[in-house]
Amino acid sequence: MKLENRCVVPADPITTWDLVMDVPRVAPCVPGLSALEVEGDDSYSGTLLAQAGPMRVNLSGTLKVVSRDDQRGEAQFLLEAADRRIGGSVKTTMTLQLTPTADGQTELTIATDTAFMGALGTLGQPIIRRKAAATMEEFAKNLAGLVESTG
Amino acid sequence: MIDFEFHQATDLDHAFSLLADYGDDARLMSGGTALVLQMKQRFSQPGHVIGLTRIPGLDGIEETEDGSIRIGGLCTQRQVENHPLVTERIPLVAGAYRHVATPRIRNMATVGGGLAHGDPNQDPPPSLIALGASVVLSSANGGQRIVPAEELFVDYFETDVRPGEIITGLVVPPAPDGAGTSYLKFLPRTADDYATVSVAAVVTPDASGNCGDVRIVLGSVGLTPIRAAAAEDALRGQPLTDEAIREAAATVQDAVDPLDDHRGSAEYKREMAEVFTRRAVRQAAGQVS
Repeated sequence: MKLENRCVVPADPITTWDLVMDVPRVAPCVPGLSALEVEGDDSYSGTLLAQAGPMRVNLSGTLKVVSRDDQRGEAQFLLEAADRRIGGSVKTTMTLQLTPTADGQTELTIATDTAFMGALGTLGQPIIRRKAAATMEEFAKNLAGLVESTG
Repeated sequence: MIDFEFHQATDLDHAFSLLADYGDDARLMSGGTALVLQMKQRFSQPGHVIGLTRIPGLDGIEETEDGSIRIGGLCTQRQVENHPLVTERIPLVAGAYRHVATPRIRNMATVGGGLAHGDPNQDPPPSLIALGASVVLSSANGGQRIVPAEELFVDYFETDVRPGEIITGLVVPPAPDGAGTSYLKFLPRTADDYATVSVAAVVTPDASGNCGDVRIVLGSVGLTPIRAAAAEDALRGQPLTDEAIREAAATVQDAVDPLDDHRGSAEYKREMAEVFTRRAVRQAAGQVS
């Protein structure tokens, strides 16, 4: 499953880059993300909850920074997570790209490519897919809020 | 299956009291066709399940004073599809329930349970919304809220049923005099599958035989059932010609938001949404008198 979302962050590219690459700092902006811990250099663990009504998919796993280009404002992440209760997992490649806008702000593009494995099945996949867009929108809103609150 | 405690409610007050006792950790169950599947797959893990099927007085179907049909929340879907008041007064609804899965499931699944499930792939909601049906939500101490079916579905598997409320009834007005109705379900795989796209249409003529009013609602192509407002606006006041219907149906592609899955790509479903809207409206328009 491929998804691409864009949002404008009310800050210049350098400020935005420093913020989005500081994973523990930006983590509270991701709806449903909890228990984030630093595992090592550019490696983190955590749990992501996707919920649709009374149904829940609780993905626990790791996020690793695969590559980063500070000059171009581009980074690639690998997310591997599983819901052991349900017996299914996801593997997501996430590409993050910053582009300066004409008014001095920054356009943030997040492209994800996700493979679903195991028993997430007919109920789990649509929950994650349907919630992905809403999660990204909320993330963008929270990120803008964080930028504004930190000046 | 996960461990849980089962409580059999003996009447509505008992059910409300159990809901108050166990709150978020409780799920209501009537036929169990949706909940048990979610629990088996561990998407839902309630500590307490409150059985509703022995609550008396919620499985009747009757005509109200204004000519609407009131269906109890615990009526099985099979009961609805076969009841003479439904087949004669609101045949669109009988037909929609007849499309649900298989008779074995319809003999278990209830009207209230299906609505509370909030699955956008279900058959009945588009027809209920197209007819302007209302859902009766009851709560402790005689509390009651009437919510239009159109407003019940708020997000993916999420409804406007509030904590402490139980769906106790559904009130469906018959289609207006002279109106034509249609429910089409596109099933490219098996007869008991969810729809790839489904469309309900109610077309009401004006005095000159043009389209006086029209309601078009699609299922399986978004987070909730989707009302095709632009298509309705395009048709209102127009003669019910093939060309007008074709132009109106074309707007549906922008209204839907399907997912790629084993029933077809999003692009294919978007196109089928247009095709089946065209066919449903044409069929409904062919019945107007």
